[in-house]
Amino acid sequence: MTSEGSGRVELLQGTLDLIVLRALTTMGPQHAYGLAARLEQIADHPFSLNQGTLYAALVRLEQSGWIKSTWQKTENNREAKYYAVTKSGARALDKQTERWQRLAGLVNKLLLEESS
Amino acid sequence: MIWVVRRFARRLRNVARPSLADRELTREIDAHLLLLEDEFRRRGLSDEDARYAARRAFGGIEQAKEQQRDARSFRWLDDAGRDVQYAARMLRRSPGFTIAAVLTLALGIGANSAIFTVVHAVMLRPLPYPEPDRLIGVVQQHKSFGVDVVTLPDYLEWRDEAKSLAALGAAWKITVNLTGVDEPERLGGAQVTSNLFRTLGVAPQLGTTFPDSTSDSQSVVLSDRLWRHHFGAAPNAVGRTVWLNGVRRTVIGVMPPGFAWPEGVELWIPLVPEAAMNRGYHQLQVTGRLARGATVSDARAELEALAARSAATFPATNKDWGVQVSSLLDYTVGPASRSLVILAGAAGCVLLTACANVGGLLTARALARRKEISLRTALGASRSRIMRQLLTESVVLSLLGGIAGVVVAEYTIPALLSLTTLPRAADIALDTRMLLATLIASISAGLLFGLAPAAATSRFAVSTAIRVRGDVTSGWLRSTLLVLQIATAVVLLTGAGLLLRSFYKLQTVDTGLNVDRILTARFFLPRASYPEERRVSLYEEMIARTKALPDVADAAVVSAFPFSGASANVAFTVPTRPASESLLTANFLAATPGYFRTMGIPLLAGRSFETTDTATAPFVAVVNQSMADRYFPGQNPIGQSIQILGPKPRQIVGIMPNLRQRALHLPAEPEIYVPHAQFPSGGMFLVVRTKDDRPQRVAPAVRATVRSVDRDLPIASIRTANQLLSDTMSSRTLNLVLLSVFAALSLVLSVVGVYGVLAFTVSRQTIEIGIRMALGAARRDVLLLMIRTGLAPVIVGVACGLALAVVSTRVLRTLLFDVTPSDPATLVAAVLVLLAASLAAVVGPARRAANVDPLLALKAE
Repeated sequence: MTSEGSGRVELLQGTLDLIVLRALTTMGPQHAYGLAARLEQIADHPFSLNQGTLYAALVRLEQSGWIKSTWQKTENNREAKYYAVTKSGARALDKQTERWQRLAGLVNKLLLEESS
Repeated sequence: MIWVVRRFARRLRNVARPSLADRELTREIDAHLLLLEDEFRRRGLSDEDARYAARRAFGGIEQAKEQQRDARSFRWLDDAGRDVQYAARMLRRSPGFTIAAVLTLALGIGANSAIFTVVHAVMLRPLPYPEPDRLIGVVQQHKSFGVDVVTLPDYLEWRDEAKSLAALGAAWKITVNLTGVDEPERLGGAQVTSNLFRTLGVAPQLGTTFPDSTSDSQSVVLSDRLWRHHFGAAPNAVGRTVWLNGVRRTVIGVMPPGFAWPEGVELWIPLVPEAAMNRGYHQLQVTGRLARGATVSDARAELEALAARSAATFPATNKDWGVQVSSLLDYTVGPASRSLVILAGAAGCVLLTACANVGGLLTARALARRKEISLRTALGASRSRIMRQLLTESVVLSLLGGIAGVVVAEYTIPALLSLTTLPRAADIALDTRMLLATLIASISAGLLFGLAPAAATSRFAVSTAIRVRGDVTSGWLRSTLLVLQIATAVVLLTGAGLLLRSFYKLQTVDTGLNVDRILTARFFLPRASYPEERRVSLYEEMIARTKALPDVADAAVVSAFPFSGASANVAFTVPTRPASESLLTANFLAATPGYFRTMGIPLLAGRSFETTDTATAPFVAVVNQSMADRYFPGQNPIGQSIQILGPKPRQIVGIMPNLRQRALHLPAEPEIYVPHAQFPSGGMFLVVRTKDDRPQRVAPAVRATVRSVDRDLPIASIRTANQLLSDTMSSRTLNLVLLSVFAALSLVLSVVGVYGVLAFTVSRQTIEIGIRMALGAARRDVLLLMIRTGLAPVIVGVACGLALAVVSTRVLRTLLFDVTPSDPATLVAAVLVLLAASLAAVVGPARRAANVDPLLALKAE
C-alpha cells in the first residue's frame, strides 16, 4: 500500500467501502460531503482523504444494493444526494465487519511473527 | 451473494448509457463543492479562497469521476465500444483497403467453414444412436486379399460366443424392386438379423421390428421416407402389403427419420440364415454393441481368438482370415477421413495465407497512419491502449470477413457435396455450431494477423514519427509474412500438381475399352416374377427391339458393366487338377452373344458366344488374358474345363483382352464370362452402341422400348459408359478440384502480396531512387535493383516451401497414382509457376521505380 506525500492515505478498496457503510449506519442518511467531514473528524486529521475518492465507494455500495440514494435539500437549502443504508446493507455490514476482524487478526498475527 | 450479480448487472447497464450516469455524477460533485465552499466561508475565507480551498479538499475532480466510472461500469467494455465505432469509421474511410481485406478473409474463412462443416458432419458428429461410443463395426481381413465383409457362419459364432459384446447384429445389403405402390421404385434394402435394431438402440416410430424367431419371412420395415412417399405418412400403413422383387410382404413397422443402416438402405427384411450358410461367402455388414465396461480392444482380442480358432477348424475357408474391429464411426467413415483431413489442412493453409496477406496490408497501412498514432501517443494514450484499438480494428475486419465467409460457405457446401459421395453426407448444412466456429475462427484470425502489425505500429513514439522516414521493424515483418505466404503457396501448388498428375495418368490408363458411343441401362429381374426361362426370352426381346431403334448400331446384355461396381468375385475349380490349398477366384460375368461385338472388344483367340450356346447345349466360357496368365501359365486355356457356380463343368472356348473392371488404379483381374442363357442372372445391364458419339440422346427411346417390353420393370439407372467411368473418379475429383482451388487462391494471394510489398517499397523509396539516378544510376540498374528487392522474399519463401512440400506431400501418398509424393517434375513446375507469377507482379512497380524523374522526386522532399 503506497501512501502519497502530505499524509494522505489510500485505502484498501474494500476497507473504504466498509468504513462508509459503517459511518452511514451510525449517522443515518448523509450526503457525500457530510460523510467526508465525519471521516476526517474520526481520522483526527483534516485532509487525510481526498473527498472525491468517496464516490467510487458510494457507487460500489449502491450497485450492490447496500445503500440507496435520494436528492434532498440540506438545512441551508442546498440540494445534495443523501445516502441511506438498506436492510441488506445492514446485514452486509455485520458480515463484512466480521470478515474484516478475522482478516485484521490474521494480518496482525503475521506481522507480529515476522517482526519477532 | 445476490449482490455480486446485482452489481454486475448494474455495471453492465451503465456501459450501455454512460452519459446519463455522468450527468448525475457531475451534479452531485457540484453540490458537494458548494457545501464545501459554504463550510470554508463559514470559517471566514473570502469567496474566492473558499472556492479554491474546496477544490483542494475535494482533490482531482476528473480523477474522482474516472474512479467512479471505473467502479460503476466496465471500463474496458466502454472503451471497446468506442474502439469499434472508431474502427468502423476508419474502415469506411478507406473502402479499397477494407474491401480487399474483407474479400481475402471471406475466401479464407469461407473455405474453412465449408470444409469444417463437412468434416464435422462426416467425422466428428456422433452417430445418431444412443450411447454411440459402445458401437463397433467388424470386418474380416485376409492376409493377402485385404478387407471384406463377414460370412454368416463366422457372424453367428461371434454373436453367440463373444462375451465382450452385449449384442451383435448383421445386415446384408440388397437391391429391391418395390412394387404394389403407385410408383414402382428400385432401391437399396437390407436383410437384417432380428437383433440389428436393438443393437443400434433404435426403436421404430410406428409398429414393431422383426421378432426373434427367424421363421417369419413375410414382413418388411420401411424407412420414414418410403412411409411418407408411398403411404402419405398414414398411421394405418402397418399391416398394408407391398411387393418386393415380386414377393408379397406385410409392413410391420416404420423406422424414425434419419435411420439408415447400412447407409443408403431404405427398407429392411429378415435375414434368412439357411440361404447363406457358407464360410466362403462374405456378405454381412456386422455391427455390435459393447457390453458395459468392455472396450474396443476387449472385443478385438476376443474376436481375434475366435477367428484363430475358426482358421484352425476350417482351413479351407478360414485360413489366413483375421478380424478388424473398430468403432462404428471409423467403420462408417473409413478412408474418407483421410482425404478430408488433408483438405482441412489445405483450407487451413489458405486461411493462413489470407491472414498473412491482410497482415501485410495492415502493416503498410500502419505506416500511413504514423502521424495519427504519434498524435494519440503524444496526447497520453498508452501503448497498450493503442494496441487494443488497432487490434479492435483487425477483429472488426475479420468479423466482416467471417460474415462474408459464411455466405461463401453457404454456396460452396452444395457444390462440394455434388462432387463427391461421402458417407454421412446426406444432411450437411451450416448450423449454429458452424456459425459459432466461424465466429471463433474469425476472431482468432483477426488477432493473428493484427497482433504483429499492431505491436510494430504502436511502437511509434512521437520523436521517431517526426525524424525517421523509413521504418525498420515493419519492413522485416512484411517480408516475413510474404515468405510465409510463398511457402504455403508452394506446398499447396505441389499438392495440387501431384493430384493433377495422378488424375491425368488415370485418365490416360488404357481401359481396353472404346466407350464413347455406349449407353447402359441397369435392371433387376426378381426371381419370383421372372423365372429363368422368362429372363432369357425377355432379354432377347429387349435386345431385338433396341437394335431396331434408328440411332442404335448394336445392343447386348451383361451382368456387370465395367466400373459399375456390379462384378462379383467367385471361386472356381479346375477339375483336371488336384484340389489345391489356395482358393482360385475370378470375376464372374454373364453376357449375351453380342456383348463383345457391341463393346468393340476383339477376341484374342477362340470364339465368342453363339446363339446356339443355350441352357441345354454344352456349357462354355470365355476368359480374359489375365485369367489365362494367372491360372494357365504356359498352357493354352482353350479347351480346358473349369467348374464354377454349379456342378456342370464349362469348357473355355475363347480368350479376350484385359478390361479394367473395378477401378482404374487397380490392375486387371482374372475374368470368366459365360453365356447369359446358361446363367440367367437377374441383375443385368442393357448395353447399347449408338451410331454417333452422343449416346445420351437415345436414352428416352431405350426407356420407352424397355417399357414396351414390360411395363412393370423399373430401370435402376440409365448412364453413358463415360458417366460410369467418371463416377469412379468422383472421390479423386473432390480432392483435385478443392486442392486446385485452394492452391490457386493461395497463389493469387501471394502474388498480390508480392506486388503490394514492392509497390509500397517503391513509393517509400522514391527519393532514394531519385538520388541514385541523379548520381548517375541507369534506368536498367534501378529496374534490376527493384526486381531483386521484390524477388528476395520470394526466393526465400520458395526454398522454405520446397522443404515443407517434400515433407508434407507424403500425406497424399495413398491418393496418388503412378506418381511419387516428391515427384521432381511437379516440384519444379510448382516453383516455376510461382516464380513466373511473382515476376509478373514485380515488373509493374519496378518499372514505375525506373521511371522516377529525379528532379520531381527531389523536389517532393
